Amino acid sequence: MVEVIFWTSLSCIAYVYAGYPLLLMAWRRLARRPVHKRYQELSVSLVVAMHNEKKNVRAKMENCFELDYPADKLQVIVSLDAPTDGTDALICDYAVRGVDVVHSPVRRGKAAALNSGVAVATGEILLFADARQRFDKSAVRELVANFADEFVGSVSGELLLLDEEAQEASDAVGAYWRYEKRLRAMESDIHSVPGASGAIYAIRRDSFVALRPETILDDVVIPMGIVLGGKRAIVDPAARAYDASQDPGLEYGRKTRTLTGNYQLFSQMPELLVPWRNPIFVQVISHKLGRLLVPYCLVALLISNLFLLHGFYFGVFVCQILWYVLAGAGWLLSTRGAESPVPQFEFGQGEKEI
Amino acid sequence: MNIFRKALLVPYTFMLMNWAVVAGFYYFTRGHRDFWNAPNTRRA
Repeated sequence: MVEVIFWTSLSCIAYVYAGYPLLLMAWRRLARRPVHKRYQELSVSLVVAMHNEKKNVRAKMENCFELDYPADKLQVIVSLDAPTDGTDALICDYAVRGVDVVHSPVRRGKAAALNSGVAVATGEILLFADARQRFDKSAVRELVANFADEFVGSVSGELLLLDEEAQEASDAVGAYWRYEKRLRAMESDIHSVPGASGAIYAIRRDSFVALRPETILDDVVIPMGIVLGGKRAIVDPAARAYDASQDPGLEYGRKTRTLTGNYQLFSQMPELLVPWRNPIFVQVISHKLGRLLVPYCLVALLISNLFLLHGFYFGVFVCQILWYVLAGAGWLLSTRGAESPVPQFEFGQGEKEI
Repeated sequence: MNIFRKALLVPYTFMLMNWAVVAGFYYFTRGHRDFWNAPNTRRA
């Protein structure tokens, strides 16, 4: 029995982090579905939901004005969700420059703010963005070109995490993110990615279904709704957004919110777990559900290994202990000089995932 | 970033991301979504 638990746990972990990427590599080689991009200038509504974004609002708005896209085809909408730091005062400067501002004096959350923003959108394409990240000048043009393919319903851009030298981050979070992006690129080539980057993703206006107000991950719920509707949710690495790399502690807060949203996703959209309803069932199970199982598998693996301390099993046990010792040392390293290594997670305050 | 530092931060980040799964489950089961209030929107 103990051996069954050991091997089941080990297999699950190995599949999620190694087997699934290998499966995707083989799958893509056999069944790649190219996207037929064609540059066009559809009308676009760029929707940004903001709560307290005083430090980001000016840079975000200036970035919107610098985009390489015809001004008469680009509507910028800022949906304010009861800001208390003066974001609403700052945004008034931009309202006179053509930015549409929707203001809620009551805190309702990002999903409701997006619904309000979309309600005033006039574009054929809805482009969603967060306040902090900056778009590459050509990002909108690149995203829109993908909608020339009638099978494409959602396009996510690529979020690049930059270090202090404006190079793609090579730290642990950067490496983790690059691993994620490779998975998504392969999933996109095969059919669809189970989710998008909240920092930059676009959909057709007629595909939008109002979000439930309690929705945590709009950037997963919206693309997955589109996939269930029969269209593709792809990633286009040519459409880039930039963000600063976070230290692991800050990334933890963001990740916690995302993973809470994943639990909510399966409760809101149980059809994702039905193979004949979900065209990317394997991807959802492997990428989303698998990640939710791994920590429990890690615990089961360690405990079962305690009862199997001989031969090969002893080697695995030593490797596990070494891994946890390194992780502990990494924690000490990351806390050196920091007051709070792992910030308390405040619900609803984090940036969105990806 | 040197190799030694990365060798320590990779397992730490991996464990932190997995701990986030457990924390996420805790938040989900505790229903930490109740800050969403009734809509009340006006156009500026």
